Amino acid sequence: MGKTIFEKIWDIHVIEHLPNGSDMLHIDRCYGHDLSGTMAYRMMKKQGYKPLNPALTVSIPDHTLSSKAGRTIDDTPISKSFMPAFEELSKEMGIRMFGLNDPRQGIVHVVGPETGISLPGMTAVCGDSHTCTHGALGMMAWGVGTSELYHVVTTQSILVTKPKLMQIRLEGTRSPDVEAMDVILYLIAQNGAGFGAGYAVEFTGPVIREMEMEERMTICNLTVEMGSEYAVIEPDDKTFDYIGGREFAPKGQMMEQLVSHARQLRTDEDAVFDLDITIDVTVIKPQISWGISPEHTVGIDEMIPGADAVAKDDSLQKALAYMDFKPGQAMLGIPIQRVFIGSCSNGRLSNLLRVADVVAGKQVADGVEAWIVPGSRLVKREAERLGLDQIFRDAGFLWGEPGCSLCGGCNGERVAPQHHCVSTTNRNFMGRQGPQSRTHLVSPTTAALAAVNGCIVSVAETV
Amino acid sequence: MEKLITIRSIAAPLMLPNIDTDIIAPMKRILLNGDEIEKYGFEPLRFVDGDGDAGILNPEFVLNQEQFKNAEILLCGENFGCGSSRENAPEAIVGMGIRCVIGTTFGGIFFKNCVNQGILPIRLKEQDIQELVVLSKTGEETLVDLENQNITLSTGRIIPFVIDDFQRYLLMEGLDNAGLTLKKAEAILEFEANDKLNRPWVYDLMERCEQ
Repeated sequence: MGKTIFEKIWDIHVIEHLPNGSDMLHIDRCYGHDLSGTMAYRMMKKQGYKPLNPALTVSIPDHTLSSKAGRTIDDTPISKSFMPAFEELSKEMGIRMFGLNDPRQGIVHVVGPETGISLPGMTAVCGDSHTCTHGALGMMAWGVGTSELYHVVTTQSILVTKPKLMQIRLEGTRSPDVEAMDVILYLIAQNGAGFGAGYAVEFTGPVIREMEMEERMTICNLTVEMGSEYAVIEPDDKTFDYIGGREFAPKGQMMEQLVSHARQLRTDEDAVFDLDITIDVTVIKPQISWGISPEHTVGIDEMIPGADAVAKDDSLQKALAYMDFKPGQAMLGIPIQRVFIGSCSNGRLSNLLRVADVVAGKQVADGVEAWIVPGSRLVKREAERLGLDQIFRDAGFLWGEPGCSLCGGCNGERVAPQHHCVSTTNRNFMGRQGPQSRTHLVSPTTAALAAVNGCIVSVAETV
Repeated sequence: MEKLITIRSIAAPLMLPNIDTDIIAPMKRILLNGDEIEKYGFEPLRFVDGDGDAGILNPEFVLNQEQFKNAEILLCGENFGCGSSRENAPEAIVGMGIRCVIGTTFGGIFFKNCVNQGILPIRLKEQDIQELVVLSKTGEETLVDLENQNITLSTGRIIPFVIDDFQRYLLMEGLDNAGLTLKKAEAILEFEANDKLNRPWVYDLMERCEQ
């Protein structure tokens, strides 16, 4: 019987089969960020441990930093309390750091792929659930807690049980106004936020093959919102083109060696998945979340669940009460107060180009505070080289410094209570963007349209 | 970490699905009140208007109810602990006195974090959980036995559960597993030495590039 790419990557990383059925796997890349990295390094220091192979770990601050121009680590009480220890411990342990002023600084899941530190066939972990993003390169990458991160940095290995395997095959033709974000939000809405629990998901099919690398990253990024810790996409020519020339990617003969290795990692024709599903993307429309779980998502021109559905479901009642919506209410026309464009879901150059298409020559609506925060300093430089920052500033957006920013509010930046924030991020949880904040997850285009209209609108309406 | 072998307690039902780790351990509290995160565990549900500063307990939240205040077992809705990988979530739960969480499905990272924080996470079938929910209202205690991997209901019925042997061992011994793995450092370094021949790009640039 053949093997899937996930099993092949797993197998080449086994250091030891453990008697209980789990395995000790080698971890090729370990990312420490300013919150969980600092906590894990502190645990190591307390135990007197040093990394077994410090060269394979990278420290990148993203969560606690301010988004404001001219920022320093003293700008937020949080970065002030975490950053000095993060820097000091990284140095003490011999761990490479892309610090505040490093030209490679940014969100871990943007920086890893774009620097070529994450490469096909690798294993990678970070103390961050969105590490599944790197799976877009054909990797086994997943988020871990602080204790596991401490284990990995200390031993360059992890003890883990193989998940079940699911194939999600995407077929059909995407409508031109449907972005990768809409596709994955639709999948979560259709199947539920816990649907993928216990599975690693491989995305296949013609729609995935046609997607650009940054779109694949968006798909993999939100797979954890479906309950799966791992997402993977088979590497192809687009993957290899993407990697080529990046700082930490191999060159010349070693690159050829990597490509031929990665080509062998594809899922065999006779490989068997524990679960196979096929989705026709032709029916997908732009999506928007209305509630407090990513599964509370509808087509933008649709209504939120009606009175009958709500009456028999406590969780829908909770969501409606929190968002202050009525059963059966339409999403279109709902006024908004904040817009946030960025994050590890949609903070890459291709996302910003889409936003620029919508907002060029227009103005952010009165009463709306709209931010665009590039995912990394590299994305920021590229965007500025293309003049996008000027377009955004002229339209009235705040053009921020790279980091996680308003996605999880870890730097103290928040959405005010009861305010609706249209956001290209991945979580609309209660209080996520600030106590009593109301988040709507959308694609970059939908977010841009909301910013200039002051309410939720669809592309169809504006044509 | 306290060793965990048996738990005898009333079980508190918190059956909303998709309770995420942002609810269990809000980021604002991790940053401002990280050392006493248990005081703000489940803040959006636990306090009126989700406001832990005002601190008015929401009587609808199960752990605020007299009957369940001292529960050590939490019955959970599906996909409990989904979302962020923050280990502060099980830390808050254990700080609130809970030693065992029982549900149909859990956030995968949360599940492993529970073990590392000394909480026993148990997956059961929906119908078994429904039975536990019904029994929880009677005020009778439930017995969870990690060594024998079973749950004894107040009716006397015994429900077996499965947990990874290694996770069971960690919970029962209260161990720091990095120390255990480090005993195998030689095997790990040998793996790297061989792997370097097959996949030099994993090591070469990272070890060579200037920091």
